[in-house]
Amino acid sequence: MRRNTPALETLQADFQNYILGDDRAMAGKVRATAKADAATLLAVYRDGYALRLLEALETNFSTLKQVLGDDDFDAMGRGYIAAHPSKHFSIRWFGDRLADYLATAAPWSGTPALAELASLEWALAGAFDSADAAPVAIADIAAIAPENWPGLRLAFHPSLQVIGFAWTVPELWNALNAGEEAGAPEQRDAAVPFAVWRQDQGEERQNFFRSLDPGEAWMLAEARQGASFGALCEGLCQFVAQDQAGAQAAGYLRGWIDQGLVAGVEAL
Amino acid sequence: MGTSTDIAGFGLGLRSDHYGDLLAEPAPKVDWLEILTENYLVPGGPPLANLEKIRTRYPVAMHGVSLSIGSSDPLDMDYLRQVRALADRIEPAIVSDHLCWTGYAGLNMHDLLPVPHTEEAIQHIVDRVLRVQDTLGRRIALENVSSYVDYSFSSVPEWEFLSAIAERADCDILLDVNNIYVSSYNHEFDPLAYLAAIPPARVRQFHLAGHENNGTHIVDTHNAPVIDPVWALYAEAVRRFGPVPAMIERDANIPPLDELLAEVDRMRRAAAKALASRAA
Repeated sequence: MRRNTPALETLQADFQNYILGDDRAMAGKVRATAKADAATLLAVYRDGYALRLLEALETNFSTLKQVLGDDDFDAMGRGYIAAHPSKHFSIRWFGDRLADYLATAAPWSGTPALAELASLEWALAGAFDSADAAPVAIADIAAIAPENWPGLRLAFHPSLQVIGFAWTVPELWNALNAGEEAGAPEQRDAAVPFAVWRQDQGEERQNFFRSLDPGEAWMLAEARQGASFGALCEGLCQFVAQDQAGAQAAGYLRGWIDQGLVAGVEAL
Repeated sequence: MGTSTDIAGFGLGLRSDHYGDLLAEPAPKVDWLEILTENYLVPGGPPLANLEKIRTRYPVAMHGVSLSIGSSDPLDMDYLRQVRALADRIEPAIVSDHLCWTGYAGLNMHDLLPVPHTEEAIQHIVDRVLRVQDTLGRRIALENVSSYVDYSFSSVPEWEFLSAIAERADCDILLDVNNIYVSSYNHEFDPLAYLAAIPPARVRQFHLAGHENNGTHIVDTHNAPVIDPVWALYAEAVRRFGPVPAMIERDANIPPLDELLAEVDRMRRAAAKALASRAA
């Protein structure tokens, strides 16, 4: 081996540092050709790196791009790429920390709705290719004997996420994705929880999100923790009159089943 | 799976734009499809559901971009387990990836970075291919990549490097004819010398694609039809290596399926002509 041959590991550290912005890291290590100098050829890798990751962000955060505009999205994306380089084998997961980044890095953190929009789009991307699960039908529930209802426990579709929005970001997303004009999102009096999930019906799979009222949000959180239907009915008394709690719980459950959120029922 | 496992003839890279067309009646005329492995290493949803349906119609090859066989980082065993699980599920004829590295110290540049052609790299890669093949329980094929830089300390040409690894690791070669052309343009070597040095028994699959010529260098963009000099090189490859399964890759400016199937037919005719001239 010639004396000036760097070890494979050293070369890869240098090359990666070059891609990440260190102009000197690859000096003298690659050949110029009759057509191109070494800097031109090396730049193919550095330029390609940023463009590929920006494209990945654009795929997962298309509405954020629409809100920011091309130039700000590009600047934001390059900041994120520098702050959180990809560590996953698949570029599919690049952007997993974008909402955190936007919430904490200036100037983006000055507009909190941006981070909320990123968390909505990331949740939608996650719902798209989350695990499959056959939804429970109303008929499955109807077959359960009345005496078994209090012990009933629910399992939910793997795509289900609940996210709180302090800004009218889901409404903004709906407007922009319907091709409508939309003003800046407004701050709510208090954060509103939204469910984000994918509904699987036979061959059809479609993402949805919708807001949850306080009682439903509480019941859904408890049900996901494994609370029995009896406990859910009892707890709903915090939100509705005691004599209406059972009907309210059954109403929420019916809605969840109709919308494909429930993927299992267990009657103990 | 509803169709045979082995591949022969002329294929196409499966892209989500064409799921609907490939599942329509009658089944479009393409002999097999190549999937991008990472696109299906997801928990579920439409990608896997479509793949399962498409697999009942067509045999497939699996083509990955994340093996990073040339990296000095440890092999990603979690990734390999997922590749194996997908292979067990869809029964591909070939599992391939690239002769390159993709990152260092746990980072992923998501690019096919060139490996220096040194004895150290050959030994390193041979050891890793052997471990990968053990882990996957099958032989893999390694593809020559398009490269834009040539390390000043590489000690052997790429064709010797690739051939040495294939022989010593007992793996197959996925010969990308476009990449040979691109690299020959970028590094000013004779593409025919490349073909002549590759051991025919190792060549399991061909790739063809379009690229972007910037004058100073060519970038392997897969965004355009195959150009005439690459068709000519493909004819040479068929004359040398015989009726190896061949396919078209398109990753950007993706046209309607019919347009790509016309390119697949052109490949079919080019191969027939080359084989006839070989027999003559």
